[in-house]
Amino acid sequence: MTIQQQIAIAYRVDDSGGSLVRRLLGAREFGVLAATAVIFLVCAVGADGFLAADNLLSVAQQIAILGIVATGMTFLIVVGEIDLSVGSLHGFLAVELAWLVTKVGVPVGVAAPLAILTGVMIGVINGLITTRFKIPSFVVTLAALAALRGAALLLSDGVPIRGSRNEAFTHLFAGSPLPNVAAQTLWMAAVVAIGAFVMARTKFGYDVYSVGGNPSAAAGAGIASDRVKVMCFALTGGLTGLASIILVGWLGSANPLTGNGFELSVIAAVVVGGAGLAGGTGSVLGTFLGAVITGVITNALVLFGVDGNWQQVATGLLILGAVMLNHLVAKRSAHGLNA
Amino acid sequence: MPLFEAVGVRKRFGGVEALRGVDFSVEPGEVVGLMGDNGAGKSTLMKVICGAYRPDEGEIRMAGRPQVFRSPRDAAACGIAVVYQNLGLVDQRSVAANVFLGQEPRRFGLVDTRRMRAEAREVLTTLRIRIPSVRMPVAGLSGGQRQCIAIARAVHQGGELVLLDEPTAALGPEQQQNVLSLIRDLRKQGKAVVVVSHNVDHVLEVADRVVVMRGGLVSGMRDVAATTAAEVVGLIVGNAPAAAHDGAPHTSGELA
Ligand SMILES: Nc1ncnc2c1ncn2[C@@H]1O[C@H](COP(=O)(O)OP(=O)(O)OP(=O)(O)O)[C@@H](O)[C@H]1O
Ligand SMILES: [Mg+2]
Repeated sequence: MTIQQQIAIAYRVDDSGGSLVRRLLGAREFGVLAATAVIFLVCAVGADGFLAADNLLSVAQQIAILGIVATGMTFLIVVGEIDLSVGSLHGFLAVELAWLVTKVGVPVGVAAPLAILTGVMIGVINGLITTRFKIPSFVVTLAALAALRGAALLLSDGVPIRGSRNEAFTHLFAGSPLPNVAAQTLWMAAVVAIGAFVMARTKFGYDVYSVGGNPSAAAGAGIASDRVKVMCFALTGGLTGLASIILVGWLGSANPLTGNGFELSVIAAVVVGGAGLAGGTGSVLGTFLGAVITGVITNALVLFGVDGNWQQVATGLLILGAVMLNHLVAKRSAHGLNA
Repeated sequence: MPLFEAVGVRKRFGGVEALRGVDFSVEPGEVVGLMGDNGAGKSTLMKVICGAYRPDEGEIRMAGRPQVFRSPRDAAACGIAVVYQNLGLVDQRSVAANVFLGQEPRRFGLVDTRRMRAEAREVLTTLRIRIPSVRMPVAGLSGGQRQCIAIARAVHQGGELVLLDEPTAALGPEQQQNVLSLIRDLRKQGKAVVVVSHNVDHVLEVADRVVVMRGGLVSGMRDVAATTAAEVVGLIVGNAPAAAHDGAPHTSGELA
């Protein structure tokens, strides 16, 4: 074919991604956003008291803990790994914090950062075992799930420990800096905003997507995959620490059974938010919406007077439905835009 | 002095010795056609050169200086760019992100997506690769388009030595010619190119020198100006005397 012919078969080039509306509609999060709106409306209409200010406040508080940990889990799932131990870790770190403050007498200003540090370290250990010994992370963190729950029970003798009564601490993590807005909610907003930004715009975020999407291509392009993975584990551990601090500030105590089954809600939020368990897809914003959906549905089930055990069934069905939906979306979006 | 030299390189995978003591060199600005049967060890040699594999034995030199590449990043820092045979694309990511995979340009510490899109489009235009939007995930592209994106990445990355492992294998005739003229362009810019190919005509068209591998060894070498397609094919299938021009250490005698 001659160059003239090539020019004759001119083809449309458009790298702009189209209008704002088109980009919004094309975004992977759009489906989740629509689902969130629908579910919210259904609850508002169907569940008595859903829209009451204190109910919404408590939903927001519950979503806060979920959203913070799920932000970390988003990085992990996109990078192609998973952490099943976040529920146990959440409980263990809460107990550790309360134990340090109440039983050892460490000032809460030291104990709280220590909880985050412990979370980071446990994440690093999970990550190193996963990457060095090439053991699937769901096995490594399943072991951690059991070990950390045991550690929480040992440290607390199996009974709840009282947390800090430091006013500044309670204020910072469980206060109400604005009318009808809990401190937890602001913490989550900050974590989600920073997490979304890091994931979408930094080199680290790009590496996370590359390693999760095609590990051998990432290695071939000189990306230090193992280090990226370990950092995702560390991030998840650290954010779980933050969630534990908030919980202790909020409840004023730490129960060693805290976070039992929490990993399921976290994974549900991430998957509902559009992340594929195979790695390489997902976003923090999607996860946030997933957390809202999970939180709202749980709350609505309570308001509808549904048995607590059925809530677990609902969580399971939610994960299954989301995975199946994502599968369809992934097939479709292979031919769409990916801004 | 050669731009690049590999001396006595060996690489074993379990029971298979893919490279059995390869000597290979590239002069500055030279285009080398690397040929050989399936399984001869061409891709393995490319991966050793670009730092994806570490040789079990042997030495790698860049401009006379010994180098130990621990990862493709080290090799890239030394000016070696590569297109792998399996391309190494991340399907879920956009064309632009794939052109810059692992080398995203940054501004104020953040990935400069605007520059990425603009430069990706520029390279695609230079290579006359037709893709409607650089925001498209590469999963939706044809095999040939995907191959072009992998090439675009190596071209954009630059470097003094560009390795292309079967860059025309999945391409239509027009794109094949684009790649060949691209190789000529690279040489005009003074870059050295190693191109692995099974197509003798292509190699004779663009290369200065043909290196033939067989069973993990370099079995022959010819200057393109002084050889014919028939002779090269003879070297590849292993039934011609493989007396190399410039005294290659291995002859077909020890391979037979
Ligand atoms: N990662 C690996 N693990 C195990 N064996 C390998 C690996 N890579 C290559 N080999 C073996 O090494 C030998 C050389 O393979 P290589 O890919 O270098 O051949 P090639 O010359 O590129 O062939 P082709 O023309 O088919 O691409 C083959 O026998 C192959 O099976
Ligand atoms: Mg090969």
